[in-house]
Amino acid sequence: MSKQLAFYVDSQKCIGCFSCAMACKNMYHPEPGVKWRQVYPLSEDIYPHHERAFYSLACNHCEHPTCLECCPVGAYTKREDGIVVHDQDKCIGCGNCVRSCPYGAPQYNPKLKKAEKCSMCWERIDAKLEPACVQACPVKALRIIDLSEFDDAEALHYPPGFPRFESLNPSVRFKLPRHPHVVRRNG
Amino acid sequence: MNDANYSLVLFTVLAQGSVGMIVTSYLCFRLAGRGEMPHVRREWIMAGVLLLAGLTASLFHIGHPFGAAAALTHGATSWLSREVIAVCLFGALTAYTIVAMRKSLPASLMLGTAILGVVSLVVSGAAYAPPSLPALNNASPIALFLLTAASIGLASKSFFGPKDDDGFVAQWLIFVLIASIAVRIILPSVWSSGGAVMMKTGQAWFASPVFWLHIVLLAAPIPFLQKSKALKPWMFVAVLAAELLGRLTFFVGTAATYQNIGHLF
Ligand code: SF4
Ligand code: SF4
Repeated sequence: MSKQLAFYVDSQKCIGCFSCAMACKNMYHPEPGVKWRQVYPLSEDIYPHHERAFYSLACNHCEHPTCLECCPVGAYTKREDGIVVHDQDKCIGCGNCVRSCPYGAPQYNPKLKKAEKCSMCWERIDAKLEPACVQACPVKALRIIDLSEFDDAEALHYPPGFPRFESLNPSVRFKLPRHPHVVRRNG
Repeated sequence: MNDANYSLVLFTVLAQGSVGMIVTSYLCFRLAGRGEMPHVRREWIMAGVLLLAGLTASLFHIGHPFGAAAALTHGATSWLSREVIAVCLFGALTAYTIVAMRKSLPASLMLGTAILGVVSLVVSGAAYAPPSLPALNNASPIALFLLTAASIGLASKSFFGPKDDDGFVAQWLIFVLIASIAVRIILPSVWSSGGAVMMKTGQAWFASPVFWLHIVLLAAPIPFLQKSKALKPWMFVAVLAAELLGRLTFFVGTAATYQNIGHLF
């Protein structure tokens, strides 16, 4: 497999503090309501505990990105390291990528009338820095991994609550949240 | 619930109506076995006007309409590009056929245009079947678009002669309207027994008053057609309104996977 950078989302560590999403906002100043990264709480059907658990998600820089395929003007490209980049100069704001991505990653910027999405901070990656979200996480629940070298048998690709699209092969891996230790009183 | 994309509602319904009119006109012209018929050219001009109106409406959903021509460039993988290319070719061929009709009716050119129209409709169906919408990520948009084209095309015959065709067209219109209603009830019923996102789509369609109004409007001409076999202009208006409302439900009520992240699928 050729190089494919990916987010590793450790739900065991994540405390749902939104620092990653805030760091992304601070970095790119998207319009109000436009979110490149979102922190999704897991529903009680999936995580039935008083404590909550979260997935911090952004674009998954898929191996076969539907955004890249469906864009009628070819505004998306996939870099050699696997990062899927959106070129706003080419975008005509047709909204097709926004409608098509099953992970809701491309967002419509109502001011610019164009789409935009997480770029995995490729400029920072090229400068050997971590993406803003990864750097900001206080509990190290987000990491960048290279799937061509990643070898963790316990990492999940499609945990409950995350849409399964094998044809896209989203570049993301998860660690499930730990179930709380329940102490029962006998008698 | 998604935003009501009125420009896409207008574009898809009008473009499909235009294909339906051209196919119906061609079939009536061939099957009725008559030679030169003055109303045929009028029908094609009307279909062309409908397509032009649809294409104009489509520009309003693009943030930067002056860049629309660039949408022709990514046909290698993008169904939206292919749709734009197919619809533009269909429009150009329609215009050329209308010009050629000044002398006589060019049967093979008419057939070619009708076939290209159907192809554009199928391509368009594929463009509206993205992976994010599991209920539509299959052949159902193509089926719905074909039915839209057939019902508007047949109902449009109420404006154009000759009246001798009425009985034959009325029978087909009854069949298409019943099939349309059946498909539009069966699809959300099937979705309602599917995964979480499909289920939400089925429930949203059935919970929408706009959806039921579109069913009522589709059903309205049936008893009159059965009784008198005469096509009336109000039937075209009812069918067009039904198709516009149905398409509104298609865009507004179809749930997307990303709206369900964090929940069971
Ligand atoms: S998650 Fe969506 S936007 Fe990101 S690469 Fe995959 S298909 Fe494209
Ligand atoms: S909104 Fe822009 S990037 Fe998205 S499909 Fe349309 S032109 Fe391409």
